[in-house]
Amino acid sequence: MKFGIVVNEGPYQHQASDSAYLFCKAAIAKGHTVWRVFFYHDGVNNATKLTEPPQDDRNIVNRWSKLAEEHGVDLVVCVAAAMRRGIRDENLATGFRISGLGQLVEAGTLTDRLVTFGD
Amino acid sequence: MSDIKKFMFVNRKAPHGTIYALESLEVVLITAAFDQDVSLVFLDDGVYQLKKGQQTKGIETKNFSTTFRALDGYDIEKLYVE
Repeated sequence: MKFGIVVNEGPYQHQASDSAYLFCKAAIAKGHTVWRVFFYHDGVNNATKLTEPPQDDRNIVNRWSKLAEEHGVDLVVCVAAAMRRGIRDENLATGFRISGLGQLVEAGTLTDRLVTFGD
Repeated sequence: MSDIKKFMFVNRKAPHGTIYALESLEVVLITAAFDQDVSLVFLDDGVYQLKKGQQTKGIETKNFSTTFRALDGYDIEKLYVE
């Protein structure tokens, strides 16, 4: 099955981005495809390379980048939500790209399931 | 983007304490602009989004409630309020 994922919450603050990531890993391990992850609301904060968590904690941002690199997952950050929160091309982590909400609609139309994580 | 699919947006948050409601309305309008089959649900505190005569000056946030008028222009007619 082809999945589209929506992440609506920031990293560390909320479990949503952990759950979304673990869902992606589990789906891929079962042979499904994660076609795109779309980051909206505070979810855009998952995309900043300025993130530096303590050494004994998981690095949520790098984890997404690795997912994109290893499985070709398209990580898309909403431009309007990103600009509001100071996320720009200059501080974008690898594997992420900034684009419009049309990419979210496209993820809804071109995948079998669109799964949302967040409040 | 030729496929038309059903999108149901679930609104559960009050309009002004968080940015969820404002940014959600943006998605709704964009989805309709892409000719998708859109429906909207309001439940829990989400019903407060529909209250008339909201005043946000005192808390210095944007009063976006008038944007709901655009739903008509995008032919979004399936609104469900719990």
